[in-house]
Amino acid sequence: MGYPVYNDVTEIVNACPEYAAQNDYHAMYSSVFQGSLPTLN
Amino acid sequence: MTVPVDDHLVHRGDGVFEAFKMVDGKVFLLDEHLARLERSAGDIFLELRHTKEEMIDICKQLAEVSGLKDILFRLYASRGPGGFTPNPYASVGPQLYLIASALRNPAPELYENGAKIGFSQVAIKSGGLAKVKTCNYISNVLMAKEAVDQKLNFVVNVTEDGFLGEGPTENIVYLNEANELIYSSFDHTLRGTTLLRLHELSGELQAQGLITGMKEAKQSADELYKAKEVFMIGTTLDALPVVEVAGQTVGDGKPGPVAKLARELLKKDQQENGTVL
Repeated sequence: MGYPVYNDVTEIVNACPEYAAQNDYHAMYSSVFQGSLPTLN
Repeated sequence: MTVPVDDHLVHRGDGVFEAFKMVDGKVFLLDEHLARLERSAGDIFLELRHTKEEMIDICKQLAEVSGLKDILFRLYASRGPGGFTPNPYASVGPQLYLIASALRNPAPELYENGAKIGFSQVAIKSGGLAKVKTCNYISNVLMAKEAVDQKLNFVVNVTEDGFLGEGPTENIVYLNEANELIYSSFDHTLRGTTLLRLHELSGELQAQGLITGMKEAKQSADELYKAKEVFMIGTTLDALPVVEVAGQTVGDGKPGPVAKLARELLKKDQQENGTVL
């Protein structure tokens, strides 16, 4: 069973770098996003 | 940092989680945390998407990407997206979300001055679910709110029978009049990995004459008022001394030697026995 493709995490991170920095988020893995490993820096 | 809103993790709290830390490049109690994750998942009939080895490899990659040596990993294993009912079978399959945040330790002043705690009015979890680290954490959330609203560092819950429980995300231990280090029965609390590790290390506390032993016991919450020392134990805290319980001073009102050595033992253990990914 397939699942609709969501926005790539990297796009979200790039859209809100201040939020990521403020919360000390540095990296995330999500299986929903097909295993991409973006940096939040 | 997006999770699909139709992931059952979001709308039903249907998932399990763990938080574990890397200190100076070494992950503390990695096997213990992942073993508890597997137990929690089994208890709610959730099949994990990844094997233990795969999850460790993802942690390694996240650490490399982050460039950090001190990390708090937050791992969420969810039922997965699909529909908005509580039916766990209405899902495309389990998912994994794993976040690497910079590890932020409590302020040094908190260890020097000690914490203040109170008792929670939030109903304690029932026996079965209290032992599973699920993402259904609303009672813990309300406890955290109580602490903030009352300007306390933590609150601990109490059973209907008046027995001591746990904090929102911490276990509590105390030194009784017989110099026994006591922690709550796991009937209503989560099996804290740091707490259990301290139990394994407690021989050193005994060897130095600070305690006569350490044990799990079903104890009245009132025992805290007579305690010589009280401290909270958790992944990020290690061992944090408590100097005030519900407005009453603990011991002489200063952090005691047992909490101090317990913290030192845990920090030494992190350096000597942490897992290099």
